[in-house]
Amino acid sequence: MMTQVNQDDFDYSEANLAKEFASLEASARLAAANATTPEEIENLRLAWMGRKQGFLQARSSQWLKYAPPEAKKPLGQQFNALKALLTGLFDQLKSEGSTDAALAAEAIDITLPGTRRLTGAEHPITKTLNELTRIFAALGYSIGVGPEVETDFYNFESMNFPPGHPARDTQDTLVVANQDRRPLRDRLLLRTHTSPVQMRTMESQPPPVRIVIPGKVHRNDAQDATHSPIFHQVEGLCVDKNITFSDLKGTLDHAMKALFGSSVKTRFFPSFFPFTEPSADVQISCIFCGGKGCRKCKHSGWIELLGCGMVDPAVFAFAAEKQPGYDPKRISGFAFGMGVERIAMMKYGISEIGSFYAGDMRFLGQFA
Amino acid sequence: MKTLTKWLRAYLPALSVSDAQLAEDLTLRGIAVEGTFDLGPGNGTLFEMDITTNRVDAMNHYGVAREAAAIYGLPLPALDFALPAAKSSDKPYPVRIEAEDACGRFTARVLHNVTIGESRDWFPGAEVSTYFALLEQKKISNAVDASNFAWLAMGQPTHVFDLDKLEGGIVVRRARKGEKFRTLEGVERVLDS
Repeated sequence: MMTQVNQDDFDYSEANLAKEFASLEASARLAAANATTPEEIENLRLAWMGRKQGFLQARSSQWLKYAPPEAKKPLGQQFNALKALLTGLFDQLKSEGSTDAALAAEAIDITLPGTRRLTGAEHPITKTLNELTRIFAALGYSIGVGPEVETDFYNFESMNFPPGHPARDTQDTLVVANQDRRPLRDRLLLRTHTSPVQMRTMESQPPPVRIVIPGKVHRNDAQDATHSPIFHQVEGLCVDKNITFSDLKGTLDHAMKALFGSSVKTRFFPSFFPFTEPSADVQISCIFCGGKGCRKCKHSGWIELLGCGMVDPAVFAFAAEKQPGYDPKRISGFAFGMGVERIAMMKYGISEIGSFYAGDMRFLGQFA
Repeated sequence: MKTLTKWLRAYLPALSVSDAQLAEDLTLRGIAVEGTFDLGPGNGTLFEMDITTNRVDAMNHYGVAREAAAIYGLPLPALDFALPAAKSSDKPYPVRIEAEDACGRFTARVLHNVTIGESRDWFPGAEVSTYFALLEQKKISNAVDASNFAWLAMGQPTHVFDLDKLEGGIVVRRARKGEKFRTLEGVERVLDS
């Protein structure tokens, strides 16, 4: 890039030196224009200005070495001037370079597609709960809720589970510790069903009542494929004049058709719940095989899905203590309850109840 | 609860319907038969039953037979307790009830000259060996088997004591706090009161 310097014929005339320095400066500027990254600029600076191996230093030593004495002073001044100029040039480049790099790092490429945020989705249990409550809301039911920590009175006694009745043993109950000194009916426990909200609702309003109660319940059960110590129920209560078992059948038949499709059939079997009399288990025709019989319905063609019955007059008697309108001679009613997990498992073909609580995004993402 | 149709039919000789029909009719009356298992020729069917807690009376073979008799309008022969009449004793064995709120009545009878040994089939309709084998109920000895037989037949829990090993009489009371108790399985349990 440089003119070869020859000690014998180098022209130390002012005009030639001016030309040589102009050529040096042009070379430096050309090289500088091609240096873009901070590393390239720094390497270039070292190549030109480096104290030991710098090109400028080498050239100045070489020229000065053979220069005639009278030319040494202006030559030194010219080198210093060029050095100052180039130092300024490289400093400027450096500062511009770092700004460029910073800008490059922060740059937004407006042509890129946006970063997709995961869409939140309803949990399958919430989804099923909402679906169930919507079906009953469309029939004129309002939504009721109650506490998960209940008293023995609301969970058992007022639901016609007298102290010592074997039906209490069918609901493995988790009780709050250190309650021995309180009267039995005031002792606290984790509600084993959503039924206590029936009593809380009747105590707070006179008949008629049409209420659907979604909620979380607790049992002292070991977890397996179909059982969990915490699960969800949807409970329903309808109290009015002239409510009959056929109203119950019609309501539940409609609800099951709304949930699983209009071809689903229902049938009612005698059962027992302390708070209803008579009580029934409701079976629906198998939604997997249409009633022909398959593995899912144990070849019976039917699947047991919920419990129901006509409200026991003993339950009305407890309600009547606060709301005299609940006189079993004048009103009647029905109640029903179902397990939300069981329905969700059937609806979405889930075989492990634990999948609902594991928080696995691969599972939950399928309900988005 | 496991129920044998062979045992039911011993109580109801006039029962003419098939085991399958019986299972369906019982279920529709609220005495739910959840599963049926054919036990082979001459052994009838095993019903796996789920009886709700309002029907404690039907949680035994005689109770289910009573329900079947009501369904089909059949006569139900009374159970025949062929025990000799009890004689009163000058020195009755002492039984004391301390927990009167928990035990209103205690019934017991002393049987002398009992030889402990293997159970035999006591009388027709009490085929202990067959019934226990089909129910997978372990045979222990004639005294214990009699107690278990009464429970499976009538739902009445009983207990047999060896009078030679009892000391000072029978006391019905609540446990003392922290009292240790060794059960028949040999498990030591700590009781609260």
